[in-house]
Amino acid sequence: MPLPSPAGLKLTAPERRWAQAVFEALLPSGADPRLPIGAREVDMVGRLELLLSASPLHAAWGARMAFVMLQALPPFLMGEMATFRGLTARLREEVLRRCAESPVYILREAMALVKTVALMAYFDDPRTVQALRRSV
Amino acid sequence: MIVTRDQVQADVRDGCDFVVVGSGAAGATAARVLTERGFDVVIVEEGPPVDRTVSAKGVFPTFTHYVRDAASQAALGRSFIPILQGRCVGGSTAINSAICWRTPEDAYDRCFRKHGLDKAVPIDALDRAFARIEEELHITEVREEILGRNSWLMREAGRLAGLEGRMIPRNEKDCEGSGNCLLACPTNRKQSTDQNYIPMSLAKGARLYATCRADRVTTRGGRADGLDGTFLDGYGRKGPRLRVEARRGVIVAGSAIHSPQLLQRSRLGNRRQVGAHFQAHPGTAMVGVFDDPVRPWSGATQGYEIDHYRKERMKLETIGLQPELAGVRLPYVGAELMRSLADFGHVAIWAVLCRANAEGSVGHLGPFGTRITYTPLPEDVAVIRRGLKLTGELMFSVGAKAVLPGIFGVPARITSPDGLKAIDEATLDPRAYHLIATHLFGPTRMSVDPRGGVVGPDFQVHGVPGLYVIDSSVFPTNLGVNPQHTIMGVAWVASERMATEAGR
Repeated sequence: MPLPSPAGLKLTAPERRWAQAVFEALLPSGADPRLPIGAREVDMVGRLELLLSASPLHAAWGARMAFVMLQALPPFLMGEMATFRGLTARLREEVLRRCAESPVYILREAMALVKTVALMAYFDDPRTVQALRRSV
Repeated sequence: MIVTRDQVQADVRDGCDFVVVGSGAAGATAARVLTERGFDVVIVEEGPPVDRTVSAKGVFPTFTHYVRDAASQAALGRSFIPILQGRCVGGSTAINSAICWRTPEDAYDRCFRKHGLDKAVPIDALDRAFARIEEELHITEVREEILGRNSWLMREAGRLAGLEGRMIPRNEKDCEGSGNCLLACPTNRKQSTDQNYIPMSLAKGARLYATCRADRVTTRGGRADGLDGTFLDGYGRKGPRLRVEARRGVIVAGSAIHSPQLLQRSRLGNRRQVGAHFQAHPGTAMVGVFDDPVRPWSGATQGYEIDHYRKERMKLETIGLQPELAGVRLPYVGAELMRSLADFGHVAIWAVLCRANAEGSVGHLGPFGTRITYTPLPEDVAVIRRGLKLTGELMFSVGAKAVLPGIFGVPARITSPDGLKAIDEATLDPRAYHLIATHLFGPTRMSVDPRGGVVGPDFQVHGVPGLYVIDSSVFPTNLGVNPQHTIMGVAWVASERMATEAGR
């Protein structure tokens, strides 16, 4: 039984695009033949909205801020005058890696939050779990 | 009879002998004892009944439906520490790993005897309660055939190192080792309270109002006389109200996070003490990578534990997590993360828990929900750091090709026992670790002196007759072992006392 349509929380169109870009960089399609689908083939953003709708206000806003922050990081982390979506796939992945390994705690924690949300959404698709279990 | 929000069109009024807030380990046990003694009981539970066809679909639906705040609840202090709690009929017993420890003597001494509470929770009465609970909840050690390789490896490593350990005793019946304890056991083998004590209570006439938040305990002439609540939908939107008149008492068993908040909202209890002295067992996990498949999702979710270091405030136990929960511990992003996820069937996950000395606090931030502050002390982090090194050594002793300690400033992937020396140099700043807090205690602590706590030795809030708190929030200290069995035993003892004092 899926949750009904989110009552209180809909991401804006730019937020949806930003989140999708982050998810696709974090869980890219075709990186390993044992996991043939990536974030691009899974309704990640729809699941993100469901998750945020079931979360209290402060947690939902915290998660939204994490995605907004990631968009604004490339000039600071990479010296690139671009948003996250404006980068190539390789550089997007590099932003996420630097964020995860940053000495700044809030960046590492934001990355952990995004990763948790992404993995919950990704493995909610039955195809990913089946592929994982077939891989051993 | 279970009543939920979608069955209620108008405000509801009910009356009973005792109204119980919470249907988890403590609340369900109280309902079971009191209904057996012939009392009329109403149970109020904020979460919904668990639909196993929903939880069978995985972590995402389970967490969004049955875990408080969709698993976003966390303690804030120097670092951000997630705290998972069930918010469903059965409370956290529905989503935990079913581990049942009788209170060890040293833990009893530290928690109760040392605080002059051995008459409040007599050891012989507690033992009798444990025996009944063990029989009724089918508490038994994990069987060899459902141990799973994750736990088998820890047992082998412990044996090689000569460390005391054991198959974990759990409340389950005919467990098939599907590794889904945290998904509210879709096969209904775990004996969470929604499988036993709640149905037993309902059969004896109790009413359960689910999806109903307890807002406020009311008093008349200084004595607790009832409870006001509000029915909520799946998104927390308010519906009709509930009013329960309680002739003999209001029993608060909403957990160490939510019991103190109910008292705070009701403006009852020693204001300096309600919400203070919050304690926990913070912990983290070591991930080991093996050549042979481990399949951490198969076998008992938590099958084996090493309690050799328990008196040094540390306990090691296996935990079979789903990839969506353990994946955050993989130190990669992008293509490398996908490759390591594809290899997830080859990892073992072992947890390190610490009986921490740190104390925090619990409060309420109005529309922003719960406020939990908690920062493990450096001496606590040192225990966790030592545990991570030990688990690394143990994993290498049984053939791990690498371990992933998950400590900032330490190599993300260590490929030899020598490499573990780097852990000794790791900072004791909790921000460097992936901590999670489980097993919560203390913010309405029991005390003989009303100035030193919230609840008296008779389990009634000091100065508020008829208002009882019976969950782990009354424990003056943490235990150092998994608390479900102790919580149930203490709730049993407290409820028998209430019944006896009421003449039955």
